[in-house]
Amino acid sequence: MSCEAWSGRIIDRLADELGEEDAIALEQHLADCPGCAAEETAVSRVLAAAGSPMEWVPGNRMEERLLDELGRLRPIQVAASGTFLGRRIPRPMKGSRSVPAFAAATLAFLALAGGFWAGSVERSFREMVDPTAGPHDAEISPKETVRPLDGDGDGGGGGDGDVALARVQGWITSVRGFSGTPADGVYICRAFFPDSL
Amino acid sequence: MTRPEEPHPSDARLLAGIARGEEEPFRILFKRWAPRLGRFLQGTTGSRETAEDLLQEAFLRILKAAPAFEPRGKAGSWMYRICANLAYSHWRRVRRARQAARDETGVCCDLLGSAGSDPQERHAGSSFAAHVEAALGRLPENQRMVFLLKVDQGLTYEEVARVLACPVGTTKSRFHHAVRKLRTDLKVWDERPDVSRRSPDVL
Repeated sequence: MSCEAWSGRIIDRLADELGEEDAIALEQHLADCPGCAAEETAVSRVLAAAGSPMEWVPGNRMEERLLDELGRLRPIQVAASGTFLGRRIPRPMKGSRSVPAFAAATLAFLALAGGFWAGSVERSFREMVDPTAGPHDAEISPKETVRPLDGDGDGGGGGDGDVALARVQGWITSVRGFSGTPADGVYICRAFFPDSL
Repeated sequence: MTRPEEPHPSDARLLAGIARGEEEPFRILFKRWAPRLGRFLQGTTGSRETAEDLLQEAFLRILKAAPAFEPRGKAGSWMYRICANLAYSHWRRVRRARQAARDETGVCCDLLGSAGSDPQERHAGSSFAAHVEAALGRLPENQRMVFLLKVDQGLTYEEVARVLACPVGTTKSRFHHAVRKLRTDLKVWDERPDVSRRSPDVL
């Protein structure tokens, strides 16, 4: 091991971070290497000077100012810890806290159920309008949706491409359910009022 | 609540008392930690006045955050971390002010509070300790922080790593770099006979 590597161990030993075995090895090296021994003396001198304990006393009134602040904060602290002078402050009853959570869960459920219902209604409308969509959706695997939609890739005509596009759109819609976009509104209007568009 | 029969309540217990708004735990914690943290902050900023300001800010943060303190963690590391963050913020402010002064005047301004730059703060004369302090002020901030936590505050590599939220290996390497830089900076003192040669038992 080079003296450069030993210098790291010298620092670790002076910082009290060297294991017992390494410390023994270092002692043996220091006995044989005057350069490293001198280095150890110099480093220890620097560390001793840097770590000399300096008396540090906080300024006047700092403690009092902080105690005033504690007094000002006390109501907040008490509210946060839920105790005052060792006594637990009663919290609101569990039932009253669970009402908003129950309401939120109910709303979430209704929104989900409504979405499914709207999605199925919309698919029914689409089947009425476009027979290529709907019943065939389940037959199209996700893999197929990456096929070229213009029909050039499989040698088919433009008509095949349109059918593929409609099938892919139907599949995507069936996966996503009722998205609530203006396009969905157009579908529904076409179903009810075909002459209006 | 701090029990009266407990002569040395743990820091975590004191923080729990502070969280309940009690004064006595705060008094004990302040007495126990203010000198240590103040010395650390003075070492990092190089200014007694700045250290006072930062220490007060640190204790304000401790008061406010006491209810959120997790008793599983080490209170000392937590408080050192608060101080370290304040010191980093102070350095950022100093850098910004220095940059602004440089932009305005075109002159490098060194009188804005770099560590060890305040002549009032320096030791009188040209003692070895004064040179060590000046050399410490010239260390990069992250190395100075590690060095002070390790040497002046007596933390282990692991504790320093926890305070600064960095790996132990990084802490060790920063400490080695800091010591080597100080050593190089103070090489001229090697041959002087008047340098004290006491062992670093403070470590």
